[in-house]
Amino acid sequence: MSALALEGLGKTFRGAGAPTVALDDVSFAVPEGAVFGLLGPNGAGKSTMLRIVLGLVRATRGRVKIFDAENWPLRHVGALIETPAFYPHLTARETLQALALYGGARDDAHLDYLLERVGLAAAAQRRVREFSVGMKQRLGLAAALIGRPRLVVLDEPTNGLDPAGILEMRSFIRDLARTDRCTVILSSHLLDEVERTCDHFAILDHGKLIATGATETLLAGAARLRLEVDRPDAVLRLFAPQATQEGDAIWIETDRAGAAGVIARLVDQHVQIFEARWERARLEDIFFRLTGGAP
Amino acid sequence: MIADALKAELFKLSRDRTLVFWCLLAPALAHILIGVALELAVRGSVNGAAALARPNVSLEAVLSVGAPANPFVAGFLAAAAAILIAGEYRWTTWRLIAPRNNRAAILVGKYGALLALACVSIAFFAINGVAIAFLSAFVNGMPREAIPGGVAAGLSGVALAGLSALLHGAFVIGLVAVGAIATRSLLVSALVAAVGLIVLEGAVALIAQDSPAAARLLPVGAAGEVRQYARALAGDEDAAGAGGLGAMLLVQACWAFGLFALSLALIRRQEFPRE
Repeated sequence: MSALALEGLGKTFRGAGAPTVALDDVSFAVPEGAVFGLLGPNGAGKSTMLRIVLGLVRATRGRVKIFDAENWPLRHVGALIETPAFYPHLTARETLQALALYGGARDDAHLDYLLERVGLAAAAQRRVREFSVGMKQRLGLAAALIGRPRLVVLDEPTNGLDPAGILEMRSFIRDLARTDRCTVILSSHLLDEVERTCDHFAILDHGKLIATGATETLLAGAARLRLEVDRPDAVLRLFAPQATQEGDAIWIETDRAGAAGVIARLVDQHVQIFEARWERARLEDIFFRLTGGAP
Repeated sequence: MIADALKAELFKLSRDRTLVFWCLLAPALAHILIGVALELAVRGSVNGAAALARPNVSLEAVLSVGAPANPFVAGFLAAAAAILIAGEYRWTTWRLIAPRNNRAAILVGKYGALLALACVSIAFFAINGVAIAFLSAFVNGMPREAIPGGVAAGLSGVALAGLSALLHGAFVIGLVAVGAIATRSLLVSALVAAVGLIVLEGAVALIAQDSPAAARLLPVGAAGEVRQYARALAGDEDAAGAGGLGAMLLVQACWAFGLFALSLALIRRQEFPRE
């Protein structure tokens, strides 16, 4: 079952000027139990997509299914959208109480547990207007978990956190999937964070989906062998079109198992190998290759 | 859904001490203080003035209950409505609450909480009226005919004035709600309501000279007529409503409901690409 499925999702904003296409025929599915990364440059349509999922923006076309249902109650979807904002006159606990009341949740003890879990138990009675951005981010995370949601959407959850907070958040997100059995959708600009945290991801660019799949599969498919040899031309001929030359180095797209075969074949061809290094692809490489941005 | 939203709004309201003080307690306190000051400073100095010889408790209560319809007093309710409705845009909190409940239910919850605030405010004003009436009797040193028309008529007058004030309150809330949703601004929504009420007052005064019937079709004009009926019930021999009591209440209700329906339609259509 998919925790979230988008089918031909499109959104066009019509204002005074020319219409802006924010999303164009986006379709993908988020497997249940996954930690799913959503990547894309600024203006790619990530936030619009998440706001459509949460019912804050209407799609111009297409469908959103949550746990295979088009009318899944959104009160059972936890969300932290962009920098969290709260009622300044309420304390942290009162904020959670108010939000729980909106959603019909009655378990007050759970609210204390959530404050404890995000490290805000000591600040529970402090007014939110006194909070730092990092504390608001933690409170936003606690708010997202009210009502024990099965699907949690987190948009830039590490904004405003210090390095220790980022590590803590990363482990928290993994915990959500492992311990709480939540499906987590994580939108972030931090490619390293997504690579370390997410087991699936999608990349959006200019409102279009340009890649999606399991992180391991996508990274394995983009792994390369770096070679320095005496006859680069021969290697390029042998392994075209997977082989490319960058300066003195030849790069051949291959997985780890295939690298041994490449070397064996070069030895058969009496090509002298001065250096051979297999490099696992990084998400950053794939991202910039697909979006055409500068690494 | 609506019950959950109402509970949440009442909870938020109860935790906002500044709002509760300035929008609920301050107008009532100002009213009683001004009333007491007037009794002590003016009525005490008038020796057996004929005009003041027959004021009564129920009439004072009716007059007090009508006070929230005054644009200045209604401004406090408008401010509360602006904070509760437009505050969601100011603090960008729609994104927090809209996924947890139906937007229409949330707006109905806000109306409910604000009407509850208006009810308490009206009750305070009624109590003020009664207190001022007793103080007046004491200061003037004359026996007062407490409720000349009888308890039932007196209570009916107060209830009628209260109902009219509540409908006026709903109209004010509707005005703010439409302004808040259309402009997404706390300040502009409060200003829209304040200016709207002042313009309406002026329009009613202007139109009433040539066409009283047309003036009664405006919410402020209709509320004025209902107050006349309430005063008559409470024993004010000079007061007489016109246009039919039911019709005037209906005019008030239609205006309030019209704005409520418009605000619901707007919030259902609204998108939040950002608040």
